[in-house]
Amino acid sequence: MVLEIQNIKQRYGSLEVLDIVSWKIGYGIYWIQGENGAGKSTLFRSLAGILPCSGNIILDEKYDLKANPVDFRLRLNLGEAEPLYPSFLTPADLISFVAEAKKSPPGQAEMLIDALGINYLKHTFGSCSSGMVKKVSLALSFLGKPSVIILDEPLITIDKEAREALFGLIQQYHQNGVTFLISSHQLFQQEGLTVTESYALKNKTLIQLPHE
Amino acid sequence: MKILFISTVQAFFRQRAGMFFVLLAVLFGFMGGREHYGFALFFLTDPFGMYYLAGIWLVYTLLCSQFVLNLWTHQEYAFIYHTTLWPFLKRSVRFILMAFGFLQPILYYGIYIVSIARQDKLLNHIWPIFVFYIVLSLFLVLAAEWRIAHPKLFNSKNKSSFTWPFPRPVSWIYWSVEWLLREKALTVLFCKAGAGCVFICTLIYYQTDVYDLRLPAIGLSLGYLLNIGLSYELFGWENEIWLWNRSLPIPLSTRFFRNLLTHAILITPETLIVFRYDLFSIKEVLLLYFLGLSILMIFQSYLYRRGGILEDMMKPVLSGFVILTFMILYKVPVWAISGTGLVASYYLYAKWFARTEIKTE
Repeated sequence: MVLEIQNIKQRYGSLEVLDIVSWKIGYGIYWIQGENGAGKSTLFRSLAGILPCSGNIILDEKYDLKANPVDFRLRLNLGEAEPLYPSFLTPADLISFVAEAKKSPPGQAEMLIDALGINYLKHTFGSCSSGMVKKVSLALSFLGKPSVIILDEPLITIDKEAREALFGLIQQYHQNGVTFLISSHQLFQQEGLTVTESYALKNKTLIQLPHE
Repeated sequence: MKILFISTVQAFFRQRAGMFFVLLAVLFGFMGGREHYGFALFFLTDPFGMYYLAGIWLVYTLLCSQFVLNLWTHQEYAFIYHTTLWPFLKRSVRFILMAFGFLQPILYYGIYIVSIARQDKLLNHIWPIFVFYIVLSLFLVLAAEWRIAHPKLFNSKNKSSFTWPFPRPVSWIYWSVEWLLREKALTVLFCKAGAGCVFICTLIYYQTDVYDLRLPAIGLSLGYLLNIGLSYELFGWENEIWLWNRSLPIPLSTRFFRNLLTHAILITPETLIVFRYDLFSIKEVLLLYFLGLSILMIFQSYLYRRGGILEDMMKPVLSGFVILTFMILYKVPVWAISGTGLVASYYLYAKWFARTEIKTE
């Protein structure tokens, strides 16, 4: 199993958002669906260790988020739906910082910058367009040597060229053994990606959807 | 009307919470009733008293105006321009009420001055206060009117006209301090002013007789404690402004030491005041410095337990300071308190970091 969830519960105050007893996935590309407000972003943030939650999240059958927080985070990357970064920083600042933290191989950051067309490296995020911020967040999610990459609504606000580059990167990384969890309200199978399984986040848990 | 209060007035007090927290700590922690009375009497009786009061209030009003002018350029505040559809009179009344919302601190202080004037039979001196209220609230109304008459729907506040002639270091600590200076400058100002005042008073008092290290240990601890506003802002930076950083593979120990070093840098300015007075050896200054650092780090760790809810923090902070005072008075060595405090803060940080329930707004 690449990723395993055991008894995770997530709540905002008295409102319970997630209650997943057990969920396991192997190598593949998974489409996570759910209506607005179903808790997809909360699930992804919990999986990435951003929002502490009860229960266990285990990666590659040995890295527990709580017991091995650093090893776990080295191997699981998240590209957020609506990324927010300190507005005075530049994409160049952030990419070099995250590349160092994620132990990114030499040349990887430059490859991603080039592939996704991140032109405004020296402009602050405060002056960047939302599309540019999104491209940076996508580049960050591919840094390092992850075994799982979560892409939360990766297609919103990016242009056609970046979209094509993104699917190229997903295919390339997937061939190298990376598992993807993708949430998207837009179809993406026509881009040549084979979805292993689809799940819907409903009633606080993940329900497998039949193959189409 | 309600939306104006929630979106603008509440946003002001929420975003400046750290600043007001420190301000209140200075006004009601450091200053006693006699000082407050003395200031009020000065404003009422000195030939230039009311000018000083007007100056201070004007600075605060400028701060509020700048906030409105800037806030309403944010994309998410596009809706505010619908206020131009209101009839002029209705809009003016609502903007005046909004202005009073902003000016609450000076309204309350004005009431205090009036009560002192009544007590000391100085009521004939208070009329300028009401003129100030009218002028300053109109000032804010004009600022709001100007903004909606000149819509500017992009946020240019982060486009600095000044750039350093060298690349920004890829350093979390550098970014944290830079963020504080850029985004929380007033909190920095009030924290440093408050801590500086307490330091100076303590050092002056220390010179009046023969005291051992316990006196500055208590006094300077209080001064260092006034940096909790900054510590609170740093917590917000880590856990709200850039929550995503929690997904980075950074060991807990590194996160703690990063925090420790940032706090160590932040309390350096007031520590330099101690050197200026030349009353202690370097070893003693370092002891006091680490005592202050350990107090702040315990506070910072405790924020992770409470999830950054400031209202829950006042009681523990005050209780903690009382306990610390007793420990110092009963001659527990300062080095032992500092060392234990730093170790305890690391232990608590490690314990609470992973279980923080992040505030969601």
